[in-house]
Amino acid sequence: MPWDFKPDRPIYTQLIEQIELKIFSGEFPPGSKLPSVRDIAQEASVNPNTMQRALAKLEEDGLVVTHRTSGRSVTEDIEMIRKAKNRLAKRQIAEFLEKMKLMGFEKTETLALISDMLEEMKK
Amino acid sequence: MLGKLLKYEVKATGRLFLPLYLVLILFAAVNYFMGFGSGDFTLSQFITFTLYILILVGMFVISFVVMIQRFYKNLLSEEGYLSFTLPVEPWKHIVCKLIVSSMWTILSVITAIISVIIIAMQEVTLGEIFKGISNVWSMMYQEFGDKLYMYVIQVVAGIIVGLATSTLILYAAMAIGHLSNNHKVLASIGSFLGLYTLGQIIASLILLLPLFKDQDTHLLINGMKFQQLPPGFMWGTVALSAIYGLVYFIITNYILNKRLNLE
Amino acid sequence: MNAILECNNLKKSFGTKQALAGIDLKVERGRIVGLLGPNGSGKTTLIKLANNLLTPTEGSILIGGKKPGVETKKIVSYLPEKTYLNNWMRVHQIIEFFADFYEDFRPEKAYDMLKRLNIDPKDRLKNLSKGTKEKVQLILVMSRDAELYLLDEPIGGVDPAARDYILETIISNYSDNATVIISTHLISDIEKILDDVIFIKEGKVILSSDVDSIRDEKGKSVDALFREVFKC
Repeated sequence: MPWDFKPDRPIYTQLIEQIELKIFSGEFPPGSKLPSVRDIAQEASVNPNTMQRALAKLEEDGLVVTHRTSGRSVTEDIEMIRKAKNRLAKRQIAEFLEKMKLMGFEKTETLALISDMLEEMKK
Repeated sequence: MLGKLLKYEVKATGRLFLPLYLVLILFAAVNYFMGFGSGDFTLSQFITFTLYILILVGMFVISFVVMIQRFYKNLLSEEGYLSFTLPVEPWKHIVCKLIVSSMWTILSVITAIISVIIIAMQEVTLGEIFKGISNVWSMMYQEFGDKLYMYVIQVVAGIIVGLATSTLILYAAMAIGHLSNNHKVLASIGSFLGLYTLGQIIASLILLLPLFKDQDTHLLINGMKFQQLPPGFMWGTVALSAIYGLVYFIITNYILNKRLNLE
Repeated sequence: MNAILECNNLKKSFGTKQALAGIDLKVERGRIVGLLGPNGSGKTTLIKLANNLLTPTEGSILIGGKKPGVETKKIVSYLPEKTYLNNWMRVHQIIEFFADFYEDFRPEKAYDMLKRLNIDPKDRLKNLSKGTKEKVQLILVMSRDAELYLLDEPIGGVDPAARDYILETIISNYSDNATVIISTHLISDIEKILDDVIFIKEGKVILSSDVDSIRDEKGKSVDALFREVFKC
């Protein structure tokens, strides 16, 4: 998944979201070692200080842990990753429902639409 | 750091001068083997001798051009962006350029003398040449006595100081000229003429006034002998030239330090 | 530790024309800073003052607490807009030249970068294309372990691939002790790698902030803000 940044929001928050996504999708599996700040900043072409800040925030949230000697890695706590993943999913669904409401769909109608689409995709 | 500057200055200029010296010596040797001066003057002898003279003259022209070009290009044009961001005081750049350009001028003269001797060896032996030189020396010694040593020292000092001062006036003129935003070359030439004229006027006032005061005026008009100059006159001119050189140096250094105007 | 670059009421005039009209500025160590402004806003004048290529008309400029001079030149690595390469050396000779004069120069780093950019160390400087000359200069500048890098329009003339390489080099070269100041008017390309931006207009600092604060507060990129501020 390539790094991509929108112009209207802080790069630092976008970095957090994108690293989270990489953890959820398994690109950075649980317990795996993360590249150094410099390397990962270089890969994303962002400022190392900004990357440092984003990783510090992820550490605060518990998704990333720092070992005194061997740098950072993704947490091994699969339960925590699952919870964070669910939180993000819920946020996305809430946003989606909000939009559907603006378009005039009732919740049951939305749900029916989703079921129909899933049926279609199976074929 | 001055040592390193000198090293690169010699490298930058040596790649030009050393081949030039080699070519001059070679052409002197060709003239020697062509038998120049021995009897008839053939067309081929004429051509090689003309070429030799052209190279000889060219060598001094190049010495002069390189002296100006190294200073202007390396310090006052785009290369100045590198030269002046090296951790080196600007005065060291001036001294470095001065030393190296003087060195090449002196070496050019020495090479020229050697080349003349090579050609002359067609007619006279090396021993005869040295004998001639010692004859001239003893003749002069008869004329001046022990004072001759002093005169020689004065002349050598005068040449070295004069060389440095005439180089520094050009540096100062270029430094002043580069302050102009549009016509740097024209302004440099103008500055040179200005500095030169001013120097001449002041020198005449300082050097000639005591002559008029102390000596009989008609002596000056009718010309006088070297020995009749007031005591210390020669040293006075050397000292004055040195002071001029110092002033030109100070002007150049001030501009390179405080008024640099790189494009 | 003291600020790596500090200006107090810094003014510079050329004759009657005022290029800098009183700059007050403090840049800390370990930052990547964009010095942004349109052509003729005073960016180059400020950088030249920091390199002692110009002398202030009024006020002061300090590099690591010192006035620009021999001592500051040892810790400042400067990339001017101009090509300053002479015409008589080969690439490896100019590397030796830098190694001779700058104690913090790392030749192995320079050779490494030359290799990556496919530049032959045996080539003569005078035979290089303009773009390659610019790359060689950038390599020379970035191969020093300096405390302050002053890059004047480093991405103006080069092709996009080289531009990416330059930005990559700046990031990989990052150190807590070193600050990089990049002057440019092409902001969108470098916005992501900057900590802070300084907007300069008609010789005055009109904004000095960190990139994410601007995005957070204004809800737009620095590039968009720049276009707004410097609208013709």
